[in-house]
Amino acid sequence: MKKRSNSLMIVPMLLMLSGCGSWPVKNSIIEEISPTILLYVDRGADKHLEQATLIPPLREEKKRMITANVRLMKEGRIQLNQKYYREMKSGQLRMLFISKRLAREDLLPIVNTMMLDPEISDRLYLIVVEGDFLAYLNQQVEKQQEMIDFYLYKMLAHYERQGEITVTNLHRFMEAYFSPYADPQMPLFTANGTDLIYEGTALFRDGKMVGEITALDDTLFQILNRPTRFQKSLPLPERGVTLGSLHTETKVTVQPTGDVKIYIEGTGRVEEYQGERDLNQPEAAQQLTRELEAVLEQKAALLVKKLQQLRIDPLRIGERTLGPFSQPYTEEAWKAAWPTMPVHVDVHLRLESLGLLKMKR
Amino acid sequence: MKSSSLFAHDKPLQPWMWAVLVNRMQVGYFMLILPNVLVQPYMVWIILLAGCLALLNLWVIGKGLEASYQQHETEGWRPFMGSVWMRVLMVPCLVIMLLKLTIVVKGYVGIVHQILFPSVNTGTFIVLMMFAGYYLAKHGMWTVLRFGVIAFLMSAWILVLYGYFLLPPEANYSHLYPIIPLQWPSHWLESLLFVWAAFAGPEYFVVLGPWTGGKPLTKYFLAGHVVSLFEYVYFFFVSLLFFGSPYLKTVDIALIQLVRYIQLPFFERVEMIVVPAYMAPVVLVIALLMLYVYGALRILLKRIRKPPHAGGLFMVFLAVGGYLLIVDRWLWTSEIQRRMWEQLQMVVGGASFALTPALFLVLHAMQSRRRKSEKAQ
Repeated sequence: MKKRSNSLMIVPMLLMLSGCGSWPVKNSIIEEISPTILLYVDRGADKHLEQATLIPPLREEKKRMITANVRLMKEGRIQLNQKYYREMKSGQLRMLFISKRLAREDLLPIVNTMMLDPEISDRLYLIVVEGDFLAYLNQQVEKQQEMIDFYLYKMLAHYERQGEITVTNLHRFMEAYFSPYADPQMPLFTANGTDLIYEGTALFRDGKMVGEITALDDTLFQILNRPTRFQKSLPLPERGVTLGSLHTETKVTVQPTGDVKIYIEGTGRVEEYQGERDLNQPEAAQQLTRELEAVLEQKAALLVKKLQQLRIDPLRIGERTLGPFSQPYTEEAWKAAWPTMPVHVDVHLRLESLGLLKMKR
Repeated sequence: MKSSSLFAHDKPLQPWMWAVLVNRMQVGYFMLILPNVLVQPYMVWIILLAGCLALLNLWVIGKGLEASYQQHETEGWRPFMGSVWMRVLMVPCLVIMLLKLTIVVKGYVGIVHQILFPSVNTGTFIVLMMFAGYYLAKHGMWTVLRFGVIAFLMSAWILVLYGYFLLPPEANYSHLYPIIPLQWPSHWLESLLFVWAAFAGPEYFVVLGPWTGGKPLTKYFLAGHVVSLFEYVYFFFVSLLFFGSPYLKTVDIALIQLVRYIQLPFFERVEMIVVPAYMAPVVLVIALLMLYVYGALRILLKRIRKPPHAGGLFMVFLAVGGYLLIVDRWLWTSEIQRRMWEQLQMVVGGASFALTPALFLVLHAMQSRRRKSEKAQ
C-alpha cells in the first residue's frame, strides 16, 4: 500500500515539473562563469556610463580589463557579457569604484540598482576614485599584479575592522542616506598611473558628493566619528610632534540651548619630537601638552565648521539630540538649525613617556 | 502504516510539545513582514498590547480545551459531526483554512523565488512544498503534531544568528529613539490588527482535544505564546537597530535582508541555509491544515462514518495544489495583489482567532443540550 502510494505521487510530480516547463534553472558551473569582484563606473561623454571590470577573477587565464559604454547600469552587464566568452555573475561583486565626476552627480540611481539586485550583497564596498583608474588597473595587469582586485578587497576588509580609514558599504551608505540625522560618506582614493592612494573621506549630501576631508583632517574626522578609537600615530608636523598609540574617547552632547559640545579625551605617547623644548622638564612637557590640545581643538572646530558650511552631518550629531522620550528636533528643524549651531571642542590629552625623550642639544 | 490511522489518537502528545506547536504556528510569514509594517520604534507597544490580548485569548482557548475534554464521557466535537449545522460551519472554515494556506505557501515561495532562485518559476516551488506537506500529512495527525518539535529545532536557532545585529557597529541604538509616540500614531489600529492576526494560529487546536490526553495544557499554550511574543519584539528591534525607521520602510523583507548581511569567516551566503530552514514550520502548517481541510471535507460531504484513507488525502492535495497554482498564476502576481491577500488574511485570520473562544461556548451549549436530551430518554 505504501509503495504504491509513493509511486503514485512521483508520477504526477514529474509530469507537473516537466509539463510546466519550469526546470531550466540558470546554471552556475564555476568553470563556465566569471564572478567579477570589482566594477568601476564613470560618467562618459553624452550622459553615458562607462563601466569596467577585470576578468577573469581566477588565475589560470591571462587577466585583462574589459569596458562597456552604456546608458543604464545593468545594460553594462549585458555588454560586458557579450564581450567575453564566459557569463559574468555579480554574486561575488565586492567593490564598486565610482569616479569623482559621477559622484558629484546624483549617485542614488546607481547605488539603488545595486540594492535591487538580490545577487549583490549589501556589503558591497563603495569607493570614490579620482584620476584615471582604468590606467591604474591596466598597469597593474601589465605588471603581472594579477590578483589586484582581490588585494584591494582584502585591504578594504582589513581597514573595515581596523577603522584607520573610512570604509563604507552599500548598507551603511543607504542607512545614512535615509537617516534624518546623518549623511553618507565614502572613502576617496586617487589613482595615478602606478598607485592608488587613500586621500580621505568623500562627503555626500542627498546622494551627491559635496566635499572631501583629506590628509590630517581625515584622521581627526575618524576620531570624531567614533566614540572610542585607537590611532596608531597622529603626526602634527607644524608642532614637530607625532603622537602614537593614541586611544581616544569622543563624547558629543547637544545642550538644550542648542550648543554642541565635543569632548575628546586622548591617551597616548609622544613617539617623535623635533621641537625646541626640553621635554625632561615637567613644565615644558605640560606646556607642550596644552599646546597640542589647543591645536587639536582648533583643527576639530574648523573641521566641524566645514561640515556645517556644507550643511551635512556625517558625524551624526543630530542623533545625539534624541532621547527615549524626546525628540527636540524634527528632521527639518535639525537640518535648519545645524549649520548655525555653536560648536565647542574640548580636547584633553594625557601623554606618557614624555620624559624618556632625552634631547641633547 | 495503515491509512485508516490518519486521525488516530490512541497516544496523546507530551504536554511540552504543545508549547512548541503554539510557538511555531505563530511565527510564519507575517512575522517576516512585521518589521516593515510597524516601522516606527514606538510600535513595539502595539506588539506588546496585541501580545497581551492574544495571551488572554489563548488562556480562554486552553481552558476551553480542558473543560471540553477533561470529562471522559464527552468526546468533544465528535458526537456532532453529522449534524447539518456542523456541515454548514465547515464552509467558512474551509475558506479560512485555504486563505491561510495561500498566505503561508505563497508568501514563503515568494521569498525563495526572490532570494534564492530567481530563475525558477514559483509554481515549481508550490508543487514541491505541497509534495513535502503531503509526505508529512500521510503519516497522520499524530506525526504531524510531533513534527512541530523538528520544525522548532530547525528554525529556532536562527534567533541566535540575529544576535550579531544587537551589538555596535551594526546596531545603532539611537534608531530606537523616541520609543514613545510624540503624537498620536496614525495607523495604530491597523497595526494592532496586523500583529493580532500574526499571533493567530493556535485557534486550530480547538479540535485537537483527542490528542491532548485530557491534560491541562493552558500553561503550555501560554508559555509557547510568550516565546513567540519575545521573538516578535526581538526581530522588530533587531531590524530597527540595523536599518532605522526611514530606511526600514523601503526595505522589502527586512529579516531576510539582515541575514544576507551576515558574513561568517568560513561561509558567506548564510541566507542559503536560513531561508530553507524556515521551510520546516511552513511544511508543518501545510500538513496540519491539509489534514484539517480533508477532515472538513469529510464532514461536509457526509463521509465521516467511513474510515479516512491516504487516497482521499491525496485528492485533496491535488485540488488544493491546483488552487494554489491558479492563485500563483493569476491572483497573486503583483505587489498590489500581495497587499490585498495580506489585508484579507489580516482581517479573516484575526477574526477567526478572536472568535474561537466563542466556538467553545457553542460546543458547551451543544453538549449540555445533548446531555439533557439523553436524560430525557
